[in-house]
Amino acid sequence: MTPDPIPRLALAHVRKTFGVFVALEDIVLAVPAGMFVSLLGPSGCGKTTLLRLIAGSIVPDSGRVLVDGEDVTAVPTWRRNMGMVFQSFALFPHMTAAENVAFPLEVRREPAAARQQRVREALALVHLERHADAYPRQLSGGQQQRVGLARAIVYRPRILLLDEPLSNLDASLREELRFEIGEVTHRLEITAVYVTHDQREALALSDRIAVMQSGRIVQFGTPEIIHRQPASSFVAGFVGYANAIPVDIEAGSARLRTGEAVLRPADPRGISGPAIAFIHAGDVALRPVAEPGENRLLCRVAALAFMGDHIEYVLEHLPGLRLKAQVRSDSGIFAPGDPVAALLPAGKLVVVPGEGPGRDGPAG
Amino acid sequence: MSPARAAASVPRLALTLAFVLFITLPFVMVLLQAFGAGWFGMRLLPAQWTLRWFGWAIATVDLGQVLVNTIAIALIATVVSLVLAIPAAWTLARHHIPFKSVLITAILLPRMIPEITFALGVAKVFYALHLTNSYLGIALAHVILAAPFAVLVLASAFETMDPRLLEAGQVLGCNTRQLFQRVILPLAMPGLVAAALFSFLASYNDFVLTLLVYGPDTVTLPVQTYLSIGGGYTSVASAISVILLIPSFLFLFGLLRMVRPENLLGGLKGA
Repeated sequence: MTPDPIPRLALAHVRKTFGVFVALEDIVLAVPAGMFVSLLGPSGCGKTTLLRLIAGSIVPDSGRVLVDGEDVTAVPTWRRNMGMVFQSFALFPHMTAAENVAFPLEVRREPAAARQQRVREALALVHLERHADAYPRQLSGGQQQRVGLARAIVYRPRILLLDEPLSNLDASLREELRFEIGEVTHRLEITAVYVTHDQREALALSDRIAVMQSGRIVQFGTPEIIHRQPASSFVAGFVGYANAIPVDIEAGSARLRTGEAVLRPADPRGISGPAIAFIHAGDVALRPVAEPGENRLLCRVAALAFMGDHIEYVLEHLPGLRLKAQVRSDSGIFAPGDPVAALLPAGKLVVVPGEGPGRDGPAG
Repeated sequence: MSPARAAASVPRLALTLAFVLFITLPFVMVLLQAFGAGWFGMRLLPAQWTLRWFGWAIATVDLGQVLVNTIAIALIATVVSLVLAIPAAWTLARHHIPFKSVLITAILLPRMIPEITFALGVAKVFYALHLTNSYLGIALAHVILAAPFAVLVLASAFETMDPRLLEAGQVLGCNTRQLFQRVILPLAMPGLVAAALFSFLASYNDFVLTLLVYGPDTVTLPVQTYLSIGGGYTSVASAISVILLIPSFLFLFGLLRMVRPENLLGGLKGA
């Protein structure tokens, strides 16, 4: 095995408390240069605290922050050379878009000629050349955040930090700017740490995702791994698994704790005992009751909603156990009350050890 | 509005008008006295309109010099007040310090108690230090009155400042000095302008403290008004009063509109 190159950013056993509240506990993270990492978690999980700690606005109680192998734990914010995009945009209201972008170059005493060139390039990168002389209040939210992005990358920071940059935008703008952030960071090969509570943003943008819960990183992996093999029912619930079925696993077979049915997941992950079987709503297929086969739960249609290209069903297997299914609308429509077999494909069933939803996370 | 309600509002309207008249009549009197002549007996208005009292004021009491004194002292007082108030306001607004409310009360004390009660103390100290009859000395006396206002106005400006803008400044590479010059001061500009105007007016209009520490070279407009009244030249005193009123009126009607925070500071969308 070849030794890993020194990561751009490394966090070594970082701990931070506010009074009796433990905001971060034993955070270990290594981000190689050029990687896009998301910190994903619900509000209060410590993700923003961690970001501000990397920026230097917060000093850890213990542990170290390393950038390119250099210990920067005690280095003040302004000398860390990091870029930051804020949820509130945080543009300087007394400066135009171009002046905002020029600001970090000015405080670094960049010569005026080079400065103007780089400001032009940065504004062009976010398609705002024509709004260079506009003040923040004259720009839309999306345009303001583009200025924020240009301002954060114009001086080639060692790490770009993004604190829920899309949260204050409309849904349509959010998607557009998400693509833009992905494009810019990819093209400039920027090392980025992106804080979000939106799993779709994290999945769409990241090379790696760190899922956080109560001040800890509970899973770190590629978007595919996080999405397909959540490490706990908390992670599964957080990355959008709509169905959580309490089961008992014995010799690879998962017997439902409600009723008699048995499911056979493709990968039981060596679990024996109480577990939760998760499956995405879109992976549930509907079959006629008469058709034989494995991994089927007999259900009754409790409710349905026509959503255009797909239909959302709520199915009841037994009282207290309901499933959500999302199927293409051209595959035939079942009516409320109809009996139906819900097919849970073995390869799409994910089992994690645990007693049930609500115990160790908001699953389902 | 129904007739009954309209009738009911008549006494209210009359009361309001009477109150406005009560407030403004002294100013009307001063204006009539300053610009009128031959205003005797039972006449409602002066017989003639004239600028002669202003001419007299200039000729008899060296009004130009008095004006220079007043403005110079007010400018010094403004600068000193701001230099003292900016760090004090910053500390009060953005730091947790013990006994904050006691400190604020102490700073406001000169505005709460009558000037005359501490004017004598100020005069005694000034005589001992030979600060009387000098621009700097009188300006320093005025700072006692001006700085509390400045601290209050600036503290509220600093308090309402978005902390994320300061964080942004630091992440973008500002050291403490740059952060103050490039971010904090521009953001606090409306507050700074207001504090400067308040300080200027507090000094420009002050009479009681000035009376106890002025000298022949440092007569100010309010003191000169008093001296002219004492000399029996009521029309000259009124003319000086009109000049004395100008900055206050400018402030009230013009500048106040100009220094509206939203005109100086861009709105923060999404903040």
